[in-house]
Amino acid sequence: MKIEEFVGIFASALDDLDADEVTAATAFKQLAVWDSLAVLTVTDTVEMECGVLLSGTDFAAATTLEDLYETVRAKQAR
Amino acid sequence: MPKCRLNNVKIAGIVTCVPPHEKSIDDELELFGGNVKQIARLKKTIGLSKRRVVDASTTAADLCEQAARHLIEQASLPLDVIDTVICVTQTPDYIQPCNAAVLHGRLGLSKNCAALDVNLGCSGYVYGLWLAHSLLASGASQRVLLLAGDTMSRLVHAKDRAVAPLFGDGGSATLLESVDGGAPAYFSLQSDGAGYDKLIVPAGGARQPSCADTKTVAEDAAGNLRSPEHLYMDGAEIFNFSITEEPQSVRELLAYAQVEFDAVDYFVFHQANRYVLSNIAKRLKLDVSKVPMQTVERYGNQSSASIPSAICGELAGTLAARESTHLLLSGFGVGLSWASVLLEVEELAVCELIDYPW
Repeated sequence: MKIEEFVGIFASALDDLDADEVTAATAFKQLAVWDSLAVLTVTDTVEMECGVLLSGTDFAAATTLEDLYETVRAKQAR
Repeated sequence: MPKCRLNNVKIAGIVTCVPPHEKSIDDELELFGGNVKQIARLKKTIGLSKRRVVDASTTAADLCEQAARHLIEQASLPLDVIDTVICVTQTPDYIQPCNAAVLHGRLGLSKNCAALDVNLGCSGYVYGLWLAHSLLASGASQRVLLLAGDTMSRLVHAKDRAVAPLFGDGGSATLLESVDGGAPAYFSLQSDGAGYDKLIVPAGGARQPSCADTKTVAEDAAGNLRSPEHLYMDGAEIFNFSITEEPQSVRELLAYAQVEFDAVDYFVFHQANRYVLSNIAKRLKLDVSKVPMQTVERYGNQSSASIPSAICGELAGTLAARESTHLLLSGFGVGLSWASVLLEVEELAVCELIDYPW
């Protein structure tokens, strides 16, 4: 999975977000649409698409989408 | 995990009682800081809509009593044939005695009757069925009255958006009898106590007794209000648990029973919310017409009463008309605890959802 693909998966999880509004460098927790509901839909979509379950700690530790992507990659490799 | 097959038990009737007072998320604009868009998203994504809640003087025992009285009357059951009462609740009338004893007295049951409580929530109905089946299959009991109900609305702080719009109240009564040649029921029961604090009322028990401090309401990082005597839920962790453990345990139970998914007529899951239900259905690739989901949108998450509520509210007609229906019932939540049963219901004559009288 490439980073572009992951950014697309992230954007698809959020109804009110267009894919061109985010990049690998986006600090996703600063997005207006980021709230507790967004955590659920992103967790769900990432689990379905990447087979990895992100925890609250994973979201807390990441700043950019690239950080989150690296976490997913690391978990996939396990 | 304990998996088992228990024979010669019949479900003779189920009644669920809901309080008449309805709340709707549409009327709670203030709770969401006037954020109409957020309410719209919650309705669309999570499926939050309406819920039924008790007033300050009504308890889970009251709802269960009403359900039990209706069940006993409809089944024309003599009171002295009930030899076991099991009450599943996390919102009992008293710290002691248990609700089962209180209700045994209120219903006027025979003294030759065992009465005990089970302290479980969303998984509790299936645990109660497992206990009832075990007692009946072993000959330890002939007829079990299983009462399962909670009033979670009384444990949430009204200004905690993480839980207040989710929970409704309900009480149920299920009659189980030992029969010769009944169809087998397959159970699986699991726990993960390391997650005990993901869904918890921290204070008011022996670990942190009620005092002035435990009644002090504070605002959390997300702007929600609660005191240590209110229900706290780590929504993300509970969601993760629901979408991983739950589908896996259903797959394993069907494999153990050697039953195909297609052979199950309905999958009745604990009515957490529509988002969780549709996620479980999606992961198990279930036909959504086999998965009752309307109960939670009408009555809210009713904890231990949610599965009987869904059976009575959405499947009563089907269960009465069909000679036999294969049901997979599965509950998951506080504990953490989760349990599933695959069973067969035969011509269920008494199966009703009733309103608690005003």
